[in-house]
Amino acid sequence: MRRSVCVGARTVRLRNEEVLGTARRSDLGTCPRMCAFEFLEAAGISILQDAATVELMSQERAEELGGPEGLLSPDRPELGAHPASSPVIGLGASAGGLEAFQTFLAAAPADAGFAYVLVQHLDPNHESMLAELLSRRTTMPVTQISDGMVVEPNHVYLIPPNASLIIENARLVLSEFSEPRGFRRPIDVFFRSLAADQGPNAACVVLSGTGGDGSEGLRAIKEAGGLTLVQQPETAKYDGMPNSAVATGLVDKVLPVADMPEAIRDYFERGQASIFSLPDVTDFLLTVCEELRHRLGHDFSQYKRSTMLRRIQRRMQVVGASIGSDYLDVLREKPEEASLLFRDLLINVTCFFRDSEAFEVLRRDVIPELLRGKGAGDNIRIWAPGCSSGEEAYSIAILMAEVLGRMPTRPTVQIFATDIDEQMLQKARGACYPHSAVKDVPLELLDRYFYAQEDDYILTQTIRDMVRVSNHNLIKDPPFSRVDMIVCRNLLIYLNTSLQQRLIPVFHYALKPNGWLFLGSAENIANRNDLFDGVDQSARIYRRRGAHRQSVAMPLFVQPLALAVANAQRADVPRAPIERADAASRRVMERYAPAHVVVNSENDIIRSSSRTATYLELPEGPPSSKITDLAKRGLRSAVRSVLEGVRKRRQRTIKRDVRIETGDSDSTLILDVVADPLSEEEVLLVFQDVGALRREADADGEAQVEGYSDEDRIKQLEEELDEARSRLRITVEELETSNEELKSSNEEMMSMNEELQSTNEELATVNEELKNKVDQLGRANSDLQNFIESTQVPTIFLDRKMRIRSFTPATKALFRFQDQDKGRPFSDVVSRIDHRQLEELGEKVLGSGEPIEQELTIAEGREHYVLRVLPYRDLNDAIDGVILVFSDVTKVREAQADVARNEDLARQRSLEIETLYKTAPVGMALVDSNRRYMKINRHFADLTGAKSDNYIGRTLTDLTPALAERMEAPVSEVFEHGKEVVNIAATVRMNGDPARDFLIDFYPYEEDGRVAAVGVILKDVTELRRLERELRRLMDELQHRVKNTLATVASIVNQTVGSKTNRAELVDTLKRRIGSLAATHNLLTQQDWREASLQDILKTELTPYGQDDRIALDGPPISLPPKHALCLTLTLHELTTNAAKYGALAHANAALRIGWAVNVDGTGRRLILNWIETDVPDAPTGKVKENFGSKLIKQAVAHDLQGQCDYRFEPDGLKCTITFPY
Amino acid sequence: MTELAGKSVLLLEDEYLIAMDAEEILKQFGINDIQIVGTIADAERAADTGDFDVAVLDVNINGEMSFPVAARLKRRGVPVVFASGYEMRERAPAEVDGNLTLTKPYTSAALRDVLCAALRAGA
Repeated sequence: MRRSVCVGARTVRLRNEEVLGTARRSDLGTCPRMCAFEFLEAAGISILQDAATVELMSQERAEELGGPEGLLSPDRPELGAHPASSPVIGLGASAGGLEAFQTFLAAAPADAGFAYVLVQHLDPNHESMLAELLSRRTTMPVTQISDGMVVEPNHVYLIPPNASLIIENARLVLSEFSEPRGFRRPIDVFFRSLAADQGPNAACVVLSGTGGDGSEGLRAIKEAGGLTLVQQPETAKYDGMPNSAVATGLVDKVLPVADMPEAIRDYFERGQASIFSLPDVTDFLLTVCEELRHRLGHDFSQYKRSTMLRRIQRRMQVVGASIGSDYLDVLREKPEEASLLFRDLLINVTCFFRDSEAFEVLRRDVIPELLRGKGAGDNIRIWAPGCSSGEEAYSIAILMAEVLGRMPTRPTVQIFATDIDEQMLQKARGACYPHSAVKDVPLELLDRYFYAQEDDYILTQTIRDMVRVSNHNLIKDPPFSRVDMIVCRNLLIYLNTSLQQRLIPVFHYALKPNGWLFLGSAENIANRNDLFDGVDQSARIYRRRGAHRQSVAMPLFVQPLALAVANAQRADVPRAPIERADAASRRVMERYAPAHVVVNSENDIIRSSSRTATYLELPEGPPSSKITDLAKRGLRSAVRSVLEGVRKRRQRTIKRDVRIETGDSDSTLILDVVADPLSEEEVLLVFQDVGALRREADADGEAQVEGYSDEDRIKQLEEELDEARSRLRITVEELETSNEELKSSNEEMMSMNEELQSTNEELATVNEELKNKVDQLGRANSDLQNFIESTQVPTIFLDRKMRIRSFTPATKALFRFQDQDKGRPFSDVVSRIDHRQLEELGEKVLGSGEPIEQELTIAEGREHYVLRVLPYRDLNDAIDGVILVFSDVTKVREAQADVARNEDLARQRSLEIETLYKTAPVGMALVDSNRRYMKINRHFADLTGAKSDNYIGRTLTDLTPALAERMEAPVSEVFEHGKEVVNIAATVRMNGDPARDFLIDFYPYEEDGRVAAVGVILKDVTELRRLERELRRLMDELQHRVKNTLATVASIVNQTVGSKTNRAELVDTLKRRIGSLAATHNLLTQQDWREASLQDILKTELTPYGQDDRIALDGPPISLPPKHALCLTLTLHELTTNAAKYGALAHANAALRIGWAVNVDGTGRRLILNWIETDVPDAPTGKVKENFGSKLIKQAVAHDLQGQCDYRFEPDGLKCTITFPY
Repeated sequence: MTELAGKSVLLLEDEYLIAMDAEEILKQFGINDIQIVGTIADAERAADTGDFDVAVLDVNINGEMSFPVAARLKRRGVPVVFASGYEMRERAPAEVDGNLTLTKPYTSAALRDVLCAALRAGA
């Protein structure tokens, strides 16, 4: 690859030597443009070179472009050394900025991944509300910057008031302004730091504002490879800043604000795709270079490939071309694109005394040598090719001026600053630089050679006079010649090696013998030690070798094909030199110079000096400014004549010895009137009072009476006039200077105005929002008012001193509030509640900040309130009083009391039920749907034999096996139908006990409308059943006896009726027989029909017959069962009846003895009763007529009692023995 | 004379007066072969050894039921008529024919009818 380069280079050199051979003949003068032109003509270079050469050149370029990057990086490596995690977008605005920021943020997507830093001119004394205002337009967090903040994507950062903002290592750094108010350029300051810190990772946006802040910073951004956007001036509220920015020519896009976020996103998204890796990148680059050469005549093919690519890619990002061919289309179709790319390619950053060490060497060693022995007639020529905006040329000039100042006689110093970038050249001509450019200038020099204007520094005239700025292409134009020093710094690094190698001989050619060459810190002489000696390697200072000019391969092989540069730059008028007239001249002007006026072609006075009153006066009639009208009477003709003369001849014309009369005395003034043409139109008229001079002249005896012809006089006067003219010019310039100062003050005022404008905008917006807030507050207040009026909750608001702030109408039930009570101490109001207590609570809450709740009872316990004392917090959450809230809980308390009473009752009932349940003489149990016991009472347990302490959850079968079978079906039925099933009988035998009878009832126990359980009631009816059976038996017995008795009576009646024929006797017999039976019934009934006493039966039977001694009863007490009693009654009745009729009872002397005893022998117990009648006279013996009575006596006992009756008559009476088992 | 004349009757009655009355009635029917017993034990002996055309048994003899006597008689083919002070229909043992009962105090007509019925049933 290197080999090819050499071949190519040699070929080109050969070709160029030929050209140079011709070129050398032409005079390379001080006007490079002209020289170049002439030179071209002289050389007769054909634009189209032979095919072979072009082929070789193309090949060479291709090789160079395709090669690796050179050792020297043309870009500034320090730029963008600390990129933030995301692109940083700086936005600068001043007046009208709020609106622009709002529009921008509203359009900016919150997830674009950019950090936005907003710089606004803010009033230093006014707290900005910008953050608050802007945060409503975006979802991104908007933060006012504090020192040291790290920029993060999707955040918006705002400059705080009265601080200078820069970015360092992706951190935002705040500091105090170093400049006074009005001279601050916060946007420039930030943009410059942004450029340095973030490089290509940055973008800047210049928005609405007056003045020019931001333009310099934009330039820095552009130079560092960042994106530069400017708001369309016509859309900006104030177009000063946008216009100024656009005027730099470095703006990538001019857009309406709303389109900017998209453009920024587009730009950085395209930045992701690199064209570096394109396979046809070399072809692409060559095509671009060809296009540039075609349009602008500048060949960039020898520029460094990497630099080219970077800058082309940047342009591609800007125009939105994603692939090479797209960009080529743009380049071909849009004429301005070529020049825009051209500008981008040439961007260079420089500053005064860049590489101060090198300049120190220059100052110390080179400059003195350069000026040594030089005097007034000498000329020192210095060439600074590629000067860009001229900082280095002026740096050299300053160093020269320093030395010149000390020299007795001064040589003329000419510094030729040349470049091809007309915009940069204009900057150089303006000699006006931002602070950043002069930061390396020692203060002493800064004071001496610069003066400040706003934020800029302008070089003094002395320095500017030294420097000639011109457009010259180092590569294609012929070089300057016979120069003493060449300063060419940081140009070669943009060029490829072969071009560098070709340029070194050009420098050699241009320099005088022993001339100096000063290169950039990264440049060298390309091994041409044959041409230069190194003087100081580190400072890159070299000295030309050899006395003769070597033939040089002039790099002159291109010529613009399109002669019209797309963007022809308007030539800047160099700034008029401003010098300070010295005081003496001014004094002369004021006091000693003759009165004069300047008139135009119409003879109107356009300027006049002082003290013209002697010569001019206001004429009659309408006011006029014509000198011909204003001159005093005697003077008018002279004035007219000299003006005519001067117009005719274009020469100074003098009318001498003109006489005029002065107004106050009769004295006459003699004067000369001089007309001197200042320009085509303007004429200076001088009224030279000559009286005194004449006298002086007369005294000298050298009276000069010469008129126009006196050459010396004329010369003298001309010189005087020249001097006057010069002074006039100085005056004018002074005026201009003060005008400048005024302008500058004005600008300061403007800038302050701008800040105020920003503030005003903020305030207007805030005001509007405040209005809205006031409206909202009004509504809220009205809502609150309505709430307070309508709420039924007594509430009192007290301030810290327990004065009434407000209260709700409902409080009137408790306090006698009037509306005018607001503001009065709480304790003044008549209240039904103890004030002291309330105030104590209030103080407590004020102290603690904790709410208190307490119950109050008033009206002797009839009314209850819950009092809540709460802290009253103001909007800052500070406690500023207390709120008393009374809740009337009287009804609640009453209800609570009722509930409590009911609860007691219920509890009591429950207890009763429980007790009943426990003690009820029936078994009770609760069974769930799983046939498990939920509850049983003791009786149930007793009845079923279950353990009453361990039943819960046990099944029917488990707990009550004997009953379970009988219970299953009814329980199921109750669960199924929800109706009780009662009187289920069960007779069971438990634990080997006798069988018991139960009756079981089943009741549904309902919860929520469904059967939750079955209540079981178990009754033991065993005893009842037994009693029932007993009763039945007793009834049967009773019936049996009654019927038997009836049957007996019936039998008695039957027997008696059959035996008696006498009716009265029949009735009487029946009565006694039945009566006897009834008597024994009575006895039995007295003994519950269990028994009857034998004695009682006998006594009852025998009572009608008296208790005299005739009747004797003897025997132990005997109780007889009913059957025995009744049977004996019948028998004894018949015995008694017979005794009363015929026996012992029928005779007064007879006796009846009845004895009885119980005899026990082997056959059992027997009762033996003896009825013995004695002393019966005429006792029947033998056969006694058998009748019912005797039959009954003999047979009844045997039949009924299985006994015997021994019935026999003995002479003294009846003897009867009755025996029966007993 | 009736169809009852000449029949032999066992009369179990523990009340002498009632038994005497019944005997009177039976004699009026032409029945002279009458054995009167007053206890269950006597009745059982008579039932086992005697020869009767029909038996009139009082159910409640001194609180003791006379059904076993009836059972013996029935085994020997002697129709039995029960006499009782209370209504027997519901509670009489299964072997008692409800139609052959007498409610005390009974009339001679009632006795005659039931005896006739018993003799017919027995025949």
